[in-house]
Amino acid sequence: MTTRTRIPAAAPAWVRSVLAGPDRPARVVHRGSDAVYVDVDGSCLGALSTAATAVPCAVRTGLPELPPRLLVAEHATVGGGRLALGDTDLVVTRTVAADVPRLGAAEVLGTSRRLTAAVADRAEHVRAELPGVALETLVAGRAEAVPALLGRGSGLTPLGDDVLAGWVATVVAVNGPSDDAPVVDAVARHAPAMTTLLSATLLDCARRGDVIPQFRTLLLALAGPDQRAIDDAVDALLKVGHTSGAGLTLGAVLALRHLASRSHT
Amino acid sequence: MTSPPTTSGITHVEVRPGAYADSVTLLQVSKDVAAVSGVENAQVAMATPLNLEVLESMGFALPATTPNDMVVALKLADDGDLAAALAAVEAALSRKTRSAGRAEDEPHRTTGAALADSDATLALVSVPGEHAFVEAVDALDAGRDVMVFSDNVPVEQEIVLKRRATERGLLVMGPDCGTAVVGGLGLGFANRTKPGPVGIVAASGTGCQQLMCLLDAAGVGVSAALGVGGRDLSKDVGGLSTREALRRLDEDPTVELAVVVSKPPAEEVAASLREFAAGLSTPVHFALLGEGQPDLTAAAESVLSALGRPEPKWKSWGAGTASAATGGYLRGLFVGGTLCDEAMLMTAAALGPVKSNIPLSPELQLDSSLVAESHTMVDFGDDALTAGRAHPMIDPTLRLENLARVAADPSTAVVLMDVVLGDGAEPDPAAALAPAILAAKADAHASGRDLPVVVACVGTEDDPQQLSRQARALAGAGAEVFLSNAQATRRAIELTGGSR
Amino acid sequence: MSTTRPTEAPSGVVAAGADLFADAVEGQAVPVSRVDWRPPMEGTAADLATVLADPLRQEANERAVKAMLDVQAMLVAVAPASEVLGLRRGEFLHAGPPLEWANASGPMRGALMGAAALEGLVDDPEDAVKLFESGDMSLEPCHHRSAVGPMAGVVSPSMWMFVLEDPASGRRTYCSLNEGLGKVLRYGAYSSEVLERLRWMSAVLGPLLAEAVRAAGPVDVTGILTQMLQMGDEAHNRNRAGTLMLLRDLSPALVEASAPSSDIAEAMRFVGGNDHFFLNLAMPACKLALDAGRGIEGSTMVVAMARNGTEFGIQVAGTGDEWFTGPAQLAEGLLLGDYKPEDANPDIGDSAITETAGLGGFSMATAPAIVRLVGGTVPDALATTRRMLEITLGQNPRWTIPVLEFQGAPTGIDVTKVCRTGILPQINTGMAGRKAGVGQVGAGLVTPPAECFPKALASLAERARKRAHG
Repeated sequence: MTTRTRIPAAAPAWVRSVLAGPDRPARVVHRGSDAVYVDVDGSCLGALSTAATAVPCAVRTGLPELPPRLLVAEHATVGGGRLALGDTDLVVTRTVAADVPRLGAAEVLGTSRRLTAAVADRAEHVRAELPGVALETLVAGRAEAVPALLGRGSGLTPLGDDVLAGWVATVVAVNGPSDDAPVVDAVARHAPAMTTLLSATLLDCARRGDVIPQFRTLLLALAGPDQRAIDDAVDALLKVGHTSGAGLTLGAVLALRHLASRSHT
Repeated sequence: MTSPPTTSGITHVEVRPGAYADSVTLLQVSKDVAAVSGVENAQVAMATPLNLEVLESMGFALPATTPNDMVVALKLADDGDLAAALAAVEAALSRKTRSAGRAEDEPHRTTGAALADSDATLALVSVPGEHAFVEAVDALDAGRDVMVFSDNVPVEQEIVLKRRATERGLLVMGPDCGTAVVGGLGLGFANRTKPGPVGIVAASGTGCQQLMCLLDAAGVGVSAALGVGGRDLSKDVGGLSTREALRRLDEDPTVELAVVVSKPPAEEVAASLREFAAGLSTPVHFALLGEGQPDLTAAAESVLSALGRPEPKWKSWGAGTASAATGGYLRGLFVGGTLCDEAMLMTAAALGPVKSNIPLSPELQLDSSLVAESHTMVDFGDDALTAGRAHPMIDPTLRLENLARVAADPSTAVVLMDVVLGDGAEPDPAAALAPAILAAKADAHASGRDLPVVVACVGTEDDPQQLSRQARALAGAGAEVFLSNAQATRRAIELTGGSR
Repeated sequence: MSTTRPTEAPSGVVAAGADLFADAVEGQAVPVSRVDWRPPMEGTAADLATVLADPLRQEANERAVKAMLDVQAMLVAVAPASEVLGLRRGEFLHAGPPLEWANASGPMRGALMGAAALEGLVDDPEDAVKLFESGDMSLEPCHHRSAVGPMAGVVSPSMWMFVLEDPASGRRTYCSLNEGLGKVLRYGAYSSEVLERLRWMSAVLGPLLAEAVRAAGPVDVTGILTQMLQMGDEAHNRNRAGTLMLLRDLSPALVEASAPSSDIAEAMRFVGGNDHFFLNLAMPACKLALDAGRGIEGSTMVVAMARNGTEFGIQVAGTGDEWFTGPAQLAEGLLLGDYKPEDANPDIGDSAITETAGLGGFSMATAPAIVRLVGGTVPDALATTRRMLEITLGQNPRWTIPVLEFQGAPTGIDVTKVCRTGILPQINTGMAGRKAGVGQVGAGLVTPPAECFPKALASLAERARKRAHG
């Protein structure tokens, strides 16, 4: 019998709950030196190095790059508190918070202005790549925006999805996850068929209020009084991925504009 | 040209036009060749005027050369092998690289050097107390927070550290800080809890652990437990780190409520901290042990009620199985100082004076035999009992020996113990303690006594030892096991025959 | 600075002490950088705590490093020591901390004897012994006159000096002209050829260089040092590129100088043929930089390391002109010819000023060839430079080392860090013969005697205590 290697990892509560179930086979869908993703029960679950973006559907190791043995693993199993890749067990030893903080609905207009001021024109390049009508529809909170944006753009997380994820998570932060807004509903219905598995899972996380740390930091800053903290958080978020961070930022801007307009009428 | 012996041996001088190696290489070549047996002296050098002079001074006769020539000059013993020596010259000259040394970086030698080369946001210092200050200052100099596990750090140094940290908006956890949780990362002795709305500031390690575990059991997560060291709320230190820790928790929007937990503090420090806390926007609860003050379990309950959570029924295992003793004393054997303090405060109020190695007042001091004809409670984690050995949370030997002794003592009515789980603690405390409890009870039974054993088991389900597994094992050995130390103590008092 | 949120796990942790704690952190998927902590030098724990607690220390050290890095060393003139240092007949400067004839080593005595003959105080250098024994001659460290001298470092009034100036402050430092290798005064040789060469240097070389510098304008020595480090020189035992760059800068002016072409050719041949010629510019450039850090109360930065062949001494920014000394050590390295280790004199010379400023042994990585002097390897050279970062306050942004990804030279030796780690500064050096008159016997590596540093630390602690208690 071969000895198994154990790698400690940190993960959000939702990932822990997925891992806690009985052993299920999983299929490796992406391998890279900073991230390996598997498909388990129709959701995407990742194992990340410290260099990877800490998506909320993954276990985060403390390693600067994933060991080569993980990259050649043939078999993946999820369950019993671990993600098993080949002869390596990723075991969660620490729970990290990935949930968005509560943003006050009463102050949403001010929050919207503070974010817009911090972002300025730095998400415009993202806006230019997406259908303008869809973005305006999103501000209006109408479900037609969703099919126009889902899966639009290249990569594991298409740009349109990033905008939607930012929009959904921001709405959850203000209204709570129970809100059955048409957009949120449409995302849940269309995402599984219209975009990548990872992106669909991240949209699912966003509906639960789980986000990447840089986005969470931005919302925490928006919940506080310090404009400089918001500026810093926007700076950090815009650096995420190629356009992912900018997409999320734009999503938050549009969501707050949507909520502000609604609170006014 | 190889000349016949002049005085003795063979002299060989050879000029190699156009050959070049730098002088350092050639010095090494000369050294290598000179080390060959039978070679009395070797000089391989570029024919610079200086080198020619050196060669002449060594007694070599030299032909005409230019500075671009290489000279190989050898002086051999009578039995020297010229061919072997020349082969050594070739070997040494052709050796491009020597055996490569260790390529990887040497580790840094000071906290400062390591921080300069890292984006780490926290330094952990656990060097001997005499040297801890210096490493901790490195962290503050680098603008980072520091946790000092080390004990025996002079209080003057603690004050300097904390004043400097305060000036720079940095946090010093410790010294002698056994427990902290930063963003879910357990440091030292810490329990694994989920993220949540409560932040703790702890001048007491096991007090903090008790609070975390009670809240965890009630479904309330603790995102941060900032240990500040047992002396922080003393008059000398004046709560410097407690203030900074509270300020941090107050600024963190995910913290809905903060709790300060401490052994009995200096009154004026407690008062000024309450005043400071009143100016913060986050509500702050105080769990400061002392006569007439609420116990830790009561503090946890008030936190839950402030958060609008229902008051839970605290977990217990095998409770109510023991029968009351018929006279004798309550004997407490603790690994957690604050848990011991809490038990003493409750027992003193119910049963009268308790002697201890960490007494509530000086006249109750227990001598080094740890035996007295009275209620006694021993903190095995006290510095005097850990000198030269590991903390009893890691090495249970001393306490297990005392359990056997206390059990054999006919004046012992009830034994009260704590078991503290979590990272840093021994991997399976019940493995040794359960059989020891079983043996203690059997021993007492053999001499015609019943010996109730009550255990406070402080831990969570996510702890590596797993709370329920440990508690069940201990209950299986006949102990009554409680998550709450206050409940365990109350039960022990009841079994001893107290008024409660 | 913005502090981290306590509900956010640290991105990484540095751990000093028990592995148990570091293991636990790693076990929770947080990266740990472990410090290889060891107890400090014996008897220093209390003084270390006092000095680390000194409220002046950190800012004083930042000031000292900045002052040092801000200095630009320009070669502005070449002139006799009698003119620029006011050195009079019968006055001699020497390397290292203060010294009396009675304690002087062989090479130091040899150099002084030679210098006495050079100045015409005696005809035969051997006769100078009585002169120095009489106590009528004045001996003073170069460092006390803003000067530095390699090996014996003996300066007498008629010797010509490089004059370096920091344009911003107008401060100046001085160093004699390099004689070359082998039988030379600075290694304690004083034969007639040695004295003849020195006379030629005073009569021909010095005046020619003076004229060239006047004509060419100031030479940026700090700038040349920057380039040298990119070209395989560490500016202590290897000055080949620096020497050639100096020659490049001065050649046109030399050629146009008002002297017979034979003299000019001889001067250029002499400079170009002496790979160490630039050392005597590197040294005063380093001193000019380090002197800017002197006298900063509370600073633990070393501003001079110097040896007189008997004792090794250091001076520290925060302790005025006090010397902290210990016996000079024997270098370990390769010996010329058939010299034996016992023929070598203990460590000598002011040239360790280069290491004090971050060059020489501290920049070993940029001159891997030098490490083979002790039979080391290229990885050793890299490791040495990295190791020196453990005992220094910062890095020099101008003096960078390509092979270490352009890491800056380790800059500003910190007395407290030396005492904490026991890592001693690594010095590249030449070896002089033990007996007067012999000259160079080898080259190698050496460290200061460890005791200098606890002594300096004790003095820093004493000052900090006095300040704390009014």
